Amino acid sequence: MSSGPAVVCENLEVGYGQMKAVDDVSFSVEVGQVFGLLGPNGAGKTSVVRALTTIIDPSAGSARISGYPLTDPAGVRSVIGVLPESNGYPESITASEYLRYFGRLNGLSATAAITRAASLLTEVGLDGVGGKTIRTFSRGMRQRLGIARALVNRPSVLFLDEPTLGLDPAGREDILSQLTAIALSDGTSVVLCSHLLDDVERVCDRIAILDKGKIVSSGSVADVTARAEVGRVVTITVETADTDRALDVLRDAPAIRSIAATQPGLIEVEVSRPVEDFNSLLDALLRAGVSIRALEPPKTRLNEAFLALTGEKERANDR
Amino acid sequence: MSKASHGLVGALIALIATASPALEQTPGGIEITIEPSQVNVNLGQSFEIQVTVSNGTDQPTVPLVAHIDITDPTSTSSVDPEDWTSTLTKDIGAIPPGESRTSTWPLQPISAGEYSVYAVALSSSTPAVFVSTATTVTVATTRTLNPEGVLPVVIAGPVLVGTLLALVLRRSKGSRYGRRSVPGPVRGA
Amino acid sequence: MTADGTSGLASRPWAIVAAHELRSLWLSAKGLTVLFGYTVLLSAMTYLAATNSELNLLDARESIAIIVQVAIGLGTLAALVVSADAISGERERDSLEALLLTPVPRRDLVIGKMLAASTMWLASIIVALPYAYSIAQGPAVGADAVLVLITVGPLVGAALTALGMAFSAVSLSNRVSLAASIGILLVLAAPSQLPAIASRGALGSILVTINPVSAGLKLANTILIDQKTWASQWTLIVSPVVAAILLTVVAVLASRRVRLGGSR
Repeated sequence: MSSGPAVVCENLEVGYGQMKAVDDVSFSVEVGQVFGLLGPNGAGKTSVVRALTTIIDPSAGSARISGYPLTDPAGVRSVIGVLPESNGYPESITASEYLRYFGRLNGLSATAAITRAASLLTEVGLDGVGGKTIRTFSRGMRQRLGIARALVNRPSVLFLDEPTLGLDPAGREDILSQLTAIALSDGTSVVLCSHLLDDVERVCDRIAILDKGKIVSSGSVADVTARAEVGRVVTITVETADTDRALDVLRDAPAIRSIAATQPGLIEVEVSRPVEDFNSLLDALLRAGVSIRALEPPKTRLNEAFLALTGEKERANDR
Repeated sequence: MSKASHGLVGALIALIATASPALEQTPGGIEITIEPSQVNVNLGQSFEIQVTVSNGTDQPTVPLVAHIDITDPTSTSSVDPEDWTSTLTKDIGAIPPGESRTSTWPLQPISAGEYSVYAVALSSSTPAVFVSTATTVTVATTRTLNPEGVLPVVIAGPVLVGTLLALVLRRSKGSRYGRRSVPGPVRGA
Repeated sequence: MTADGTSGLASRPWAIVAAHELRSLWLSAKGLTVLFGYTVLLSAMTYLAATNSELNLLDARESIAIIVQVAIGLGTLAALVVSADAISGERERDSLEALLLTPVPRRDLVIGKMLAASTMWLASIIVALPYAYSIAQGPAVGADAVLVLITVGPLVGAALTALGMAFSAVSLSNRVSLAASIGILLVLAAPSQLPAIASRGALGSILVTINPVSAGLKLANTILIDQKTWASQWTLIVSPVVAAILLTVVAVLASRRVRLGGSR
């Protein structure tokens, strides 16, 4: 296994006939890092994952997974675990049998496979139902079984494509906690594909946003949202008596996108440019003699950044 | 035989045929008989019939053929005689005066019921047809529950495989649980 | 090398796949359900043939030839359906990707699944043996029938199992795989259903001989009904042998084409 980054992807391209699903994508994932790959439907996330996991051949570019190039598919498969988005199971066998089978396919002896299956079932919270047929499993249980299968060979890199899709909030919380624990305890790098931005924001160290096959932004969540030219919401608490005066000042201020007085003394202002507008707002309010009781710094949500970077808002408006 | 004699025999046959086609014998004429007159067999069991053509005239007959037919006199079923025997028509040849020719047919009925088997003698040189009486053949259905001794096997096969199937289905049912009763602290399911 | 010290590559992965597929086929009631249907049909045909034989409507050898041909035909069909579903069915059930993500070579996947599917015709032949012997009415005929079953059955069964597997490997749809496999079987079986006069001419005879299914069925007829010797009918065994070997090779080569499918 290599001592460098867990995943190095360089100028990756994936085409389906005339269509380019992935266009010149480059990124890297460090050991033990949780990396989020975001994008709207059809952005190319699954194609990237499939190329990196040797399911499909890239039409250009290269990648190395824990030091194994994509030209060594057996090597790559020996160090990865994958939970695909469409995850089907043989319905008539038990969860234990299923994990034992994949343990054997990954080179474990029969005895080691039994032990590994038992420990994985415990790890993902399915230890009470290992002897039940998969037919009886709920969606959340199947997702957990899929994660257990992806971990059977103690992979260096775990690829998860929409792992929380279709789960209730408690289920999502559970899966995300497990992912974080896996990355922290085992040093396993995680590549998480999702369009659920809250999930990504919660667990990812770094992210890349894909749109129409290209990376439009990458870095930490904070960096990506900071670079995105989106409005920031500032919450200002003023003296109740100064509310009207504050509203007058704010209405005259430049680059204000919206103002909302949710209750007397509490005003939410969306500004276009975070730092400059924030400072100029303060100046304007203070000069007008408004007593400011509290001020929350400008915050943005990944959601807004995502929509701005991928043009989803415009596409939604056009529709 | 002279041409005149041929013509006389032919005229005689024609006379007999036109005058009384159903008569089994004409004094001094061509007689055709079928034996036995009654047959009782089980379905699939073979039997034989004998057809005798006798020349009661003082002249040899023209070359004759004997042909048998099988029919259901109640008209409730249709019989193909070739299902019962492979050869329906046999060559008798010319029978000298005062002599007889006998032919035998093996028959194997393929369906149960009551049938009539009769024979005709005819020739290509005359339109006359001589007909015998009918043999009544009664074919009984045989019922056997264990034909050729295969019954134990044909029952045991599905029973054994069906039992195995039932055991496997029971095993897989036993490893299921109801959707509403989730055992243990399964988080977030 | 994985963290627990294994190479990541199983030894004889085809055996692991075969063992798993066997358990899935026979312990999940799928294989036994098919076998049960087959057994019921075979029982009905045997009883009917025996009844006719008892009534002398069918010669004993004709009866047993019918049973042997039905056993080979149905057993082959059962194996064909299982093999035609092997890869394309996994794809449709969304369970193929997980298998393709393991270090197991595609070739071993196909071989393992083919071995498991082959147990369908093997089970069919084993089940048919007591039927054939019971209707044989004598050890000589019974021995001939058993010999035909264990010679022609595996060859035709192996050939068509491999054919189904090849279609399954390259078809992107399970429906296409099943339709193509069953269609080919029907085309191959058709000459044996034509009137005898059709196969008497030179061309007809050649077509019957080179077709592994019709050759196998004709061999059953000539050995059991016409009581020809095996040596005199050796030409009829050639095409089943060649087909079994050739189609198995084709199926293994087709494993290179196993892929997840088109774009989503």
